[in-house]
Amino acid sequence: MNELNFEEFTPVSAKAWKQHIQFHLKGLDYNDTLSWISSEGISIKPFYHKDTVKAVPLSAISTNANFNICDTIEVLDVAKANAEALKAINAGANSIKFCIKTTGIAYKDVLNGIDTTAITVYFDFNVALQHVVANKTQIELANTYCTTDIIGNLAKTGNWYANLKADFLNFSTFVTQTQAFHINVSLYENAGATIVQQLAYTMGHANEYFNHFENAFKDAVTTPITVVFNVSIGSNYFFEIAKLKALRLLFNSITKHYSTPYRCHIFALPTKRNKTIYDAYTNSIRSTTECMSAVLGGADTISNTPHNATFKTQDASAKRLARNQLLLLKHEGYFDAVHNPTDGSYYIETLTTQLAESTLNLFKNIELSGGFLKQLKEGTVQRKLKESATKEEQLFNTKEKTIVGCNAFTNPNERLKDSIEKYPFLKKEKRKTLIPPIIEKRLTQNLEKERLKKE
Amino acid sequence: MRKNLQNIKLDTTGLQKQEAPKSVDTAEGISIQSHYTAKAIETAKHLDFAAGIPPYLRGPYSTMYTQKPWTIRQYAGFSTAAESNTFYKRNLAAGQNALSVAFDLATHRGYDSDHERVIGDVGKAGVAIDTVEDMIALFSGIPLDSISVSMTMNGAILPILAFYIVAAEAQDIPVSALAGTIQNDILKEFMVRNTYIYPPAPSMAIVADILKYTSTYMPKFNGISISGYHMLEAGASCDIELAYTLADGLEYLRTGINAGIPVDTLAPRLSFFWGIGMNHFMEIAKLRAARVLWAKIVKQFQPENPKSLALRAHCQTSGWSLTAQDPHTNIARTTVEAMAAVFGGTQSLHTNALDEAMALPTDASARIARNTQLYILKETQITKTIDPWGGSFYVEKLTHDLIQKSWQLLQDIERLGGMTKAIATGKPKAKIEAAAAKKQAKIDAGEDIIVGVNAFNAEKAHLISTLEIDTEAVRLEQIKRLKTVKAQRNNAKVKEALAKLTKAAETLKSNAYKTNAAPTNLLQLTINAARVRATLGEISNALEQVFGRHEAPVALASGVYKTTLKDNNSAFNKAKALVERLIAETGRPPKILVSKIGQDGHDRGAKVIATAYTDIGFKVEMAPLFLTPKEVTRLALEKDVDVLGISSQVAGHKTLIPQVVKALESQNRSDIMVIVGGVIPKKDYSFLKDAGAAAVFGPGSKISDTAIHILEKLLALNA
Repeated sequence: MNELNFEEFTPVSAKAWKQHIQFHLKGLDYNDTLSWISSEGISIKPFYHKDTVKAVPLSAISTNANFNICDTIEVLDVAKANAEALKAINAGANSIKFCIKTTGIAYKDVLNGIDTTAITVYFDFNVALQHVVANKTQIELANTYCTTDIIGNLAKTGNWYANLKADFLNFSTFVTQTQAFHINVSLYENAGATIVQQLAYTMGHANEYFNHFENAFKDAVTTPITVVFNVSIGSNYFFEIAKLKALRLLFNSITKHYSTPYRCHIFALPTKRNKTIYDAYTNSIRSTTECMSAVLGGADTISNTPHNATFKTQDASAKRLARNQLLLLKHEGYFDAVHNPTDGSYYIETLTTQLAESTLNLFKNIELSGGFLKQLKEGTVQRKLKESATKEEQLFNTKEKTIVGCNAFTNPNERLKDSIEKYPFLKKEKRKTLIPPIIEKRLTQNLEKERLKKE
Repeated sequence: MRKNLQNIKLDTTGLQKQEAPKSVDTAEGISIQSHYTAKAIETAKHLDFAAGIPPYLRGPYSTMYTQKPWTIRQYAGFSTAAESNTFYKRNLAAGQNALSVAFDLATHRGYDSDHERVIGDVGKAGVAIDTVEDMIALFSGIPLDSISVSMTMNGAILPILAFYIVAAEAQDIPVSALAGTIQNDILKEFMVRNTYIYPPAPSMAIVADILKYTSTYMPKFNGISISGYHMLEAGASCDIELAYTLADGLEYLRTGINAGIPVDTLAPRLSFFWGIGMNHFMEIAKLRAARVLWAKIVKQFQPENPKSLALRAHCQTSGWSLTAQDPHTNIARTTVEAMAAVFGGTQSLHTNALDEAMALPTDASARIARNTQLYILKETQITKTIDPWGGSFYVEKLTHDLIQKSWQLLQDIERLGGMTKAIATGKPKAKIEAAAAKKQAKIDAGEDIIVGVNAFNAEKAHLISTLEIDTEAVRLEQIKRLKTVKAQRNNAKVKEALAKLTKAAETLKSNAYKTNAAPTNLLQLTINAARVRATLGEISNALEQVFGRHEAPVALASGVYKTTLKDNNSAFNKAKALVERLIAETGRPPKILVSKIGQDGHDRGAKVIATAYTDIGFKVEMAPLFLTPKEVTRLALEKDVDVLGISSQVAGHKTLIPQVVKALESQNRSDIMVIVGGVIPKKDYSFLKDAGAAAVFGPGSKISDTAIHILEKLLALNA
């Protein structure tokens, strides 16, 4: 046995493999027994094979292996936020996202001591834009992604910052200044959307802006505008990888038709939907595979969420653990060595194509009915989301969908009452809104409420 | 005006990034490219193989996890049988579906708990088993015909397997109904793990007898689990782990066939055990490559049953990759590794607890470890399709590279005449040790990063409470149980059964260990001895009288550490300069004895230290394994050393170090500096220093820094 060849073995075609399986199934139906239909209606086959991969040459999607490791910081106090950022950078973060939720503070000072050529900085404006654009120097922040999302705000709160017209006007001014805006994809994920819904709403959502700018920018724009997609990643490992790949593909396919150039930038974070308050460390396991999906799907930047973020206010060691999860993917796991690890995978390539095709159909339907904003105002989006969320909740309630430590494999000895620092459930607030807002909801919350009561 | 997009199509043009290609080299000497295309795998010959059909590239079963997921098998053993039993029952209730038993060091090495050599070892790293009664207690209330049990046992394989069979008899369960695995992989013990008892030739004869017995009477039981795990843990890269483990497998296959077992009876009962480290995609590729190579290896014996060609695997996430610093980060490491094992298509899996690098898991940490698998199984949907990474240019290229590299290494072993002979040359062991020293040099130089250890360190240490065992209490309890068993049995019958064993060993020896000539089976004789309640130590001793105890030659590598470091490594250069100064002042290089005490054979740390210190300029003496504190002290005096270095991995330090210090004192040689290194929890530092240790170096210490620390002390003493 010297020469290495495998001549003694016969190559196996997809057909031969299937026959072999059928023989061993002893009369059981192949599809009934072995196929799985996802909530997107995609049928997953027991195997994928060279012979079964369709012709779409997806292997052209290169992604960013050299992902940024981000800490997300809410700016309430400028000096404190700055100190927190410097500490995170010192501990290995090479990106910071500042969330701005109040006006009248000197945002710029949070950058003190931060080299924005080395550190990727995001400013996420979640405030009434009229105040921000009134003083343009506030958003003259070189080398940063300074973004906002007026439709995302409407979807989340049910109201415009001011009104449709003013918001769009301010938005144009803002984007002209910053060359960037973002799309809050997380809202759809956290509200229980299927992946196809997420992608279709995202594209519909973005397409409202593309249309707006096509008309608003009279002069030809040559510098590309960066669209930052804030995407939450769930636990469905390969679907989430394919989700990000499909997002880039759809973005590429749509933006081509506009005269303004756009650049796709993916900012990923773990979903809130499946996180639990009991067995909180299981959330670290979840977020680890979610971050893996994000890297392999090609996220540019990833911000991990601490495992106990749902019920703890500030926990420095939990934040450190969350950051370390990403650091070890990069430095110990070789996850930054290859920027197209999924290319060629029969399964992932097929799945990406299927998700992208289904999304494109839904996207076209939304466009045909007048666009995403119209569907949002009419409540169609909310209704569809609710249907998906309810379906998922039913599966959870009947234990067809497992959340480990919550509706299965629970730890009856765990007591949480005394460690809860912030209310972990949906707060009911009565506000007058223009449209019904899209509500983010954790899948496990009802069960946890009951359990907490019984403690 | 809205743009009409009704006719757009998916379009990939322009998505390709234009970047200068980069590459990184792995420990396997494989260069990972930043970008892969179909071109990378043009010459690969393995691509068109499937699952369930030889050579099983994509899995041993045709439908894999779509019909039957892997088995969650957590390895655990607390100090006593009763405690372990409680733990097992709780885990079975909480979703685990199989058991994996860890034995303590004394048991592994064939000593009863009352033996003088194992005072610091009883109850360490697993459960102490002295008699059949202990085994009965271990599985009390656990139906052995429905729960599959895996036992990590190699040295004391005969008494342990016999006790297990007799314990099943006590549950009225016939031997044929037992399902599970016993490790019984003695070859890798001589290479890395060192929990052997007898020399290689009689050890292999025992393996043959076990294979004969299990393949005849235990159709649901794997009589051997060929283990790469311990090689990976000892520092081997994936290609070495793969090649040497498969070479071990080939050797066992030959041994069994020579003992008269038909290949189609033997091969389907062999199983493999892999370690899974942090290089995620390399590990996925490793499991795929292993199956193809194994099919190729078995094929030469012309089996008729295709199952004979299938490699079935158990995997464990790497304990070495875990850190004592920031222990919760280990949750993520274990997750990344577990995912690789599952993508690689493992049949069962152990996920480490976050504190497993330091102690036996607590209930809380064991729960997180188990939840890791339950989460992957229930929430990620990755079981829905077979070999999901199949076709990935990157993964297929790594698979191809590993197949090629390992095949070459396998040929090297074949040229030496197979693994038993190769082991006698010491070459495989040396290669693994060199890989370990290289790895350490890369970490010390900051070239390889371990998060929280040599980069991104925490401002202050995050201590967690680990399980502490009062091993003295365990030892006294075991001794009491031993006395009870001995008092209640018929000693004449025991004597008779043991004499038969000794006689069979003699016959075997006189036939040059050719097992096909042996009329009686050693396992059968051991079962008879177990039935009349001979103890583990008595059984081991009955054979040792004839076979002898194996003493490994002490070999020492040098140069690897130095050559891996860059010339400008300042700590290394500083240490060398201090050695020069010491030589100028004292006229001789500093002399250190690097040792381990007790029955713990994990010598990766000791070997790496010895290599690195030699490279720094120390005169290094390497002590044989398994010495008592008194013996180590005597050796230190004999070799006239300045420093006595003791490496501890399995928590014996609190018993053994004070004894060493006292022994030195009694010889009026307190001038010899005692230093301790290895897996030592921070909370034990002050205890050890109070006991007289001059320095304690915990996990993550850079070797050059430890040398500087010692050298400065020596210089100060000399001043």
